[in-house]
Amino acid sequence: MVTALAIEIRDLRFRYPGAAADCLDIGTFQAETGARVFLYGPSGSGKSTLLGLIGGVMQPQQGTLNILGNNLAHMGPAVRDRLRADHIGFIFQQFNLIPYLSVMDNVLLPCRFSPRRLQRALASGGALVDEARRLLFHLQLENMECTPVTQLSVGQQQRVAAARALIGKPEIVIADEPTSALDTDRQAAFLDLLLQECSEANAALIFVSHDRRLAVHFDHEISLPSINQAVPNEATL
Amino acid sequence: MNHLLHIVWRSAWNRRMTLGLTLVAIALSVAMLLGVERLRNEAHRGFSLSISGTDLVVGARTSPVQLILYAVFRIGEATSNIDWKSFQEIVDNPLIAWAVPISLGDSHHGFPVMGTTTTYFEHFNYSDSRQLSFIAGHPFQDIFDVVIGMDVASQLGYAIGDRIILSHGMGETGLLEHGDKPFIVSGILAPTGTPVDRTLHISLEGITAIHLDWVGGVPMHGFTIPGKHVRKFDLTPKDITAVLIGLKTRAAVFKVQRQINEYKAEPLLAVMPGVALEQLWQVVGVVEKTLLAISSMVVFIGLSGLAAVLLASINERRREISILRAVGARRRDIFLLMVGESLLVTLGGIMLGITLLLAASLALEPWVQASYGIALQPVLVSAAELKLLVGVLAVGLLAGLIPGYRAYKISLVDGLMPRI
Repeated sequence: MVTALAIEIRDLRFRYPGAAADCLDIGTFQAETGARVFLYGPSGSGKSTLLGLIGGVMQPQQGTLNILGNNLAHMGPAVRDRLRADHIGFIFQQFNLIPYLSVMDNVLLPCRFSPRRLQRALASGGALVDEARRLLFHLQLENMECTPVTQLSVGQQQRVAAARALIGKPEIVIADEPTSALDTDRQAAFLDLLLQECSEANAALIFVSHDRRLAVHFDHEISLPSINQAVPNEATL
Repeated sequence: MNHLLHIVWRSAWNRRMTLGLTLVAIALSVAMLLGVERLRNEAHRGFSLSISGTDLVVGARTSPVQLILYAVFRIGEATSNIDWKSFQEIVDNPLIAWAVPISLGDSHHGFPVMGTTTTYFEHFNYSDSRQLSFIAGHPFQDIFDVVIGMDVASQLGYAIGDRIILSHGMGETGLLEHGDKPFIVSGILAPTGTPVDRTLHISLEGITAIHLDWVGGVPMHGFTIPGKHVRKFDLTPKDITAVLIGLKTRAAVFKVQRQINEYKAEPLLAVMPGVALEQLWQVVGVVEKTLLAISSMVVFIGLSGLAAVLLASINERRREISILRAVGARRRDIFLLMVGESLLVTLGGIMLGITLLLAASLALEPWVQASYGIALQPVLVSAAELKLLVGVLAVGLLAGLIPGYRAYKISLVDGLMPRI
């Protein structure tokens, strides 16, 4: 399981059922453990599809998709579910949180479903809630653990989502345009916190955004159209 | 598993208005189902306990069920009577240990009046061979003495020495009264949980006395016999309604029954109470099953509503389900969340239903007892009802399987990548 490469893609092809053409045709893509990758591209270039494949949400029809040395292309849905639960943290663009759960309950969710992440959280924090509090403190959400998430601002909600993605130290964090709903000041603050936490956890961060100004914060900047040889259109995405 | 329960609870609470209405619907249907079952059982229990130690009940020829209904349960009326001479000949049978004549037809504020002899208090048993006993006073001794059951005493507030006016016929209103011949309460029977509690007992001579100046069910015009003069008349009854018989040996029951059924002087019917009750259960069994089927359907409809609510909620919860999947919930977890929610609402409905039924039992018990002679026991849940509730819970589980499977089939893509 231990490898220097968190993500490795070779000759990957993916086509949505019923589509006339491939959506993704990627020759090579790699992200090392701890890497900070900024992925950009216009709407319809297949960014979310690529994240879906890396997260095990979908499966490629062809090629190799290694996540921490495990080829997702050959895995069944249940094994991909387990891999995602144990090793991948997700942050979405919006509507990130479960509305009826408190901040603390939202943050703890991955540890509830993954014994592996629970073990890691316990190893770093002593008690599970202590680790959650530590993350919330780092993300400037101290004293909000019992607050209903519906009472939080958008920026606060994104930070709670970040804490949830980071708890239990997953090896890969996938962030799908997490700053698009934030104003410029909050974008920078959120990004700083996210990068800092990922660095501390040595997690590979795959960050997708339209906004190329954010690319300066990352080690690698990849244009998806430059590595995707397919020519997707809106209808195929 | 605890975390799933926590999520189930929080999710359900988040939609408490919709689920609450569904829960109330289930609660009402459960209360109805248990109510029907409880009334059925209490009716069976009450009827079974109402008579014990009586080998034969004899009346004018009619159906066995009708005879047992009016002679023992005071339900309905006899179509014909037994001649007093026939009674005397029957009791001369050496196989008969005791015979209690009863005469029905009058009432008091809706409670039946029964004419009999003091042998009734010695030989009539109820429940498991329990004898009647007095909590106050004694059996009737005078013509105008009356012994009342416990319900009569408590509901009408009577005590020893009170005067009672009897009405001619059965019912509560519009009856002619035997106002010129009041009775005095001489005894109050201890509660039995049987129709005895709702009966006023007077002597057969008392029955004859109040009807001395009546013809064809109405007082004779311009002619009355005051109560103080009735003793001058022969008060031997001309006829009676039924006879309760105890035999010297149970083995003779078929022989005596045949003798009575073949009695030449008038057409009579002798029935064994247990056999007649069995026929009664067969008659009411169809109605009981129909009622049970209807209330089961109501529960089924309530739980179908739950399934519909859960199914309808899936569309609006796609994103929530997908987020749970993304943070590690497996398909099985999502399935369990849906089924758990269904079970939670069903369980809540069952508990509320039991509470409603208990409250209704306590509130309506006096009325049900007075109107139908059924004593509702304020029990939480009986063993038989528990089986029904397990059945309801199982149907609740089934109701959760459909939305559970639907949610199970929602792939991560549905919620996370809405373009697809």
